[in-house]
Amino acid sequence: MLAESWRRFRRSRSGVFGLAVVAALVLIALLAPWLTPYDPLENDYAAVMQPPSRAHPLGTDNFGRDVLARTLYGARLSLRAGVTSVAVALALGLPIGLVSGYFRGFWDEYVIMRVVDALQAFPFLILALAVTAALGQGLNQAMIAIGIGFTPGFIRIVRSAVLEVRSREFVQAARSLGAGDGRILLRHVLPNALGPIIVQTTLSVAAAIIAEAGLSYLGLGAQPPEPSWGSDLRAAQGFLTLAPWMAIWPGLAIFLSVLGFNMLGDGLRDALDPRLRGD
Amino acid sequence: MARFLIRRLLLTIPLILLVSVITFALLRVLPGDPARTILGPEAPPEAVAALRERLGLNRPLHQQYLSWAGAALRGDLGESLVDGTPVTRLIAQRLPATLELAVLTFLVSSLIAVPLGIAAAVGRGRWPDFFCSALALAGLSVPHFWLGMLFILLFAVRLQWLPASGYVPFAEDPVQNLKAMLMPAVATGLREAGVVARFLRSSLLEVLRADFIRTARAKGLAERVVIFRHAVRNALIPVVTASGLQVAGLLGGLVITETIFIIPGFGRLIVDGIFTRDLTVVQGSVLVVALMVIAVNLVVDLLYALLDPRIGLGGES
Repeated sequence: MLAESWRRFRRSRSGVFGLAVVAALVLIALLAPWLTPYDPLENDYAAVMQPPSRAHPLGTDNFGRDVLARTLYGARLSLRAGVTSVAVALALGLPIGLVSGYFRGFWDEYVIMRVVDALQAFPFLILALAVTAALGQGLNQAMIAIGIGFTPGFIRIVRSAVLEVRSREFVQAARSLGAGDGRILLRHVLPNALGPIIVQTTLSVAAAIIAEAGLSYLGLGAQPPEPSWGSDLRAAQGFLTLAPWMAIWPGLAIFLSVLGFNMLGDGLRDALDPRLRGD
Repeated sequence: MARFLIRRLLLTIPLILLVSVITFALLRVLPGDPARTILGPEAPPEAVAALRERLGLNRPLHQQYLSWAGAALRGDLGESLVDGTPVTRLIAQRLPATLELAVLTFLVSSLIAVPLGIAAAVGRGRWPDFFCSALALAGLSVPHFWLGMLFILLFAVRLQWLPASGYVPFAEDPVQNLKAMLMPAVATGLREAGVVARFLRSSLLEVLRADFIRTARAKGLAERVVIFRHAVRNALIPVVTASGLQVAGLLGGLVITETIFIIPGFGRLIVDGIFTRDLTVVQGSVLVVALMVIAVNLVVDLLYALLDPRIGLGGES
């Protein structure tokens, strides 16, 4: 099963490319201190807004900080934000979706799914903004806000995957052998419903990275001086004519990371979810 | 058909009710004291207590909700905590810019997405597919606030073709207005186009496998006629149905667009409300956005019912 999926995944050129980009991103985040001699937080007022040079290949920002160093270190924050936000969404959406889809009935149809409908009437970013308004500004709050914003989507995906699996024969077989609901749910339903959940998780990391950068760009996420692609772009906008290089690299970094996770998600979908394949 | 319409309209009532409860709950029940949030951590406890009293935060939650929702039903969303302006007036001032931007963005994204999606599906597995799919994926992955900045750098700073900002209402100066709206609409629209093009591609691929397409080809119809008159028309139905969801995503994205291009829209109102801790403004605006999304979804569903005779024959909505 796993080997078969891996074989299918390897055939997907975009999936393999996405995996490579994501792996590179993780390596950059881990190895940032060895990839650049500069401290991303160290101001150098003798070298403010310098264009790219031998000493600073991507130039310096309005505090004289090395743009390359900040962009490399920014990978840490973006990855952390992407993964944490999605973990929040999974922690909320997975149990609710599992239970809702498995037991069906009044709670599923008249309570949970109607609340999900209502939550999906809020544009995702607006929902995240409302949570930020309540919790205050900062990276942790932004990650929780994004996670809550993703939760209705996760409940929907998990629930429909469970609905698909629960009526299959092996589930009925387990039940007729006397297995309890908890055991059936965790041992039989969940493992067989994992495909779409993994795909959704991967694509959501991409969306979470953009969302965190967006909130930080608005000044509601990561706060300066922390090296963050989103808040660096916010700073760059003030110096667009004087130091355009400040705006180019953090944005390119967001673009490539999001592209990587999206391509990885597409490849995983081809490998894990044969129904959705384009051919 | 009439039954479907009535059912669909009736189902909207509990949805609106739930949306209002959620809006209320988001800003009142989450951990933290709104009065404390508004005044900041250094405010003296007496001031916080006084504000709690003024905002009615000491009353039971259900009473707070009922008086807020009751007032909202009468079209009263409260007053700004910063300067006392009625929230509905603030929203009415800001809405036109956002709605115009939303319509333009939708146009841009449709103009790009439809040809891209068709070309990808028709040329499946060959270079048009590869090229269009890559373009759609790039559009989907690019942060539109960065794209907006690159546009400003190129078209406003370098080439000086378009203003970087400087929104004026359409009624005042249509030419200047459209000039100022072009970059924001394209920057946001490219992302939406990526989403729609991918969706249209897979929808069209499915339709192209259907029996009636084989029949149309067997009748000897030209491939152009088969694709445009038979396939694309049918493939667009699910795409149009999903446009309700798309509008939600678009309205969220515009919050950021309005910040880059300094457009005095609805999104700015929410973001500024968060910075000034003006919770009544945030609460009222969030409610209005959700109601707009519900209204768009309702209209899309009703149009769909009119276009597709299969709906309303007792099928599940």
